[in-house]
Amino acid sequence: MSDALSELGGVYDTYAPKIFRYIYHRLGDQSLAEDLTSEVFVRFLNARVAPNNLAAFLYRIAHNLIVDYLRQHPPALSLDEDVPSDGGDPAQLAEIEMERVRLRRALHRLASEQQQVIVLKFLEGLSNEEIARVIDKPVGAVKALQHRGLATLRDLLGAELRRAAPLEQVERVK
Amino acid sequence: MSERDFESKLDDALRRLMLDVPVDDLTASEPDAADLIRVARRLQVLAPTPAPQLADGRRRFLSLAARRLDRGGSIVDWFRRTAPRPALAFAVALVALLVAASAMIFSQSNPALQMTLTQTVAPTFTATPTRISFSPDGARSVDLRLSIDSHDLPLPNPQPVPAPVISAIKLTAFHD
Repeated sequence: MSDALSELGGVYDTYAPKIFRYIYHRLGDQSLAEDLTSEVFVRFLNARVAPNNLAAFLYRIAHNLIVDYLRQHPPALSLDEDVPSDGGDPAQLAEIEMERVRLRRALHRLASEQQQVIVLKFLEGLSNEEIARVIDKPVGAVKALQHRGLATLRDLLGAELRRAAPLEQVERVK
Repeated sequence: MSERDFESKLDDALRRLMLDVPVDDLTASEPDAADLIRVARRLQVLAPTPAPQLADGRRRFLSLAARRLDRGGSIVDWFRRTAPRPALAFAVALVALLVAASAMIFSQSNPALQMTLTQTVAPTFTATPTRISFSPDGARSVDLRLSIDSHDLPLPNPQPVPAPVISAIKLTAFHD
């Protein structure tokens, strides 16, 4: 039994940080993301059968929890921006924080599936094939959602996109 | 360009973006997708996340998992079945080794066993034909003959002992 527990502990250690990041990027609230991550693994224990792809299965549970949460709590505009910063010029850091807020607001206005694909691809680094398994759609649909999601973001961000300054700061942050 | 072609070109450019190809190179090679590539690049500012506090969640998860393991009937059963059991694997390997060693010692100390094996099985075996009748007077019948073809194969260690290798088992029907 302790071997099985050890395996399950390994599953938690491997996937919990990834699931946390995914939920955090979708909801923008650290303590909420921690609570929902914990709930994802409780639901995982309730599963009756072993999934074909564990990562995809966990991301799907997380997505369903996010959808349920957003249904009960419509998105608020106040976003938790308690992200690590690596010091530097306060004015520059403030500009980066504003950029984050702008991007998060735009991201949260996307349709749920577009948001899901954009977060999994550009913030979680999943491949198209992995995303297709998570959203249970063909790779072609992932490409289409990615295209539509980026186009919507471009429209939402509007004229700000053409300003060079934020892009330069993004380069420095990375 | 069809929408699907554009999506493929965009996807290829985004894949290269994730591999840290400079944005300017990508936008120069894919001007139609330049604004979307810039949006994707801009999203990277969101990548840093706060360090999560997951220890409480881990304790809760493992505590619940332990109770489920006692009770059964959920995904934990699958983990219980597939979890590696080093002690059990070692015990099985040890028993197999002991059985193999005992058999080797026993066969070396008992030449009669080798003779019995060779003499009993090695020759080609042919059973007496059996006739099956399909009519009371035996006018319609079939003969069945079972034969086993084998040949000797020398085994190397510790002493060459001819061992039979069955090369064919035939069931032949002869119709009158």
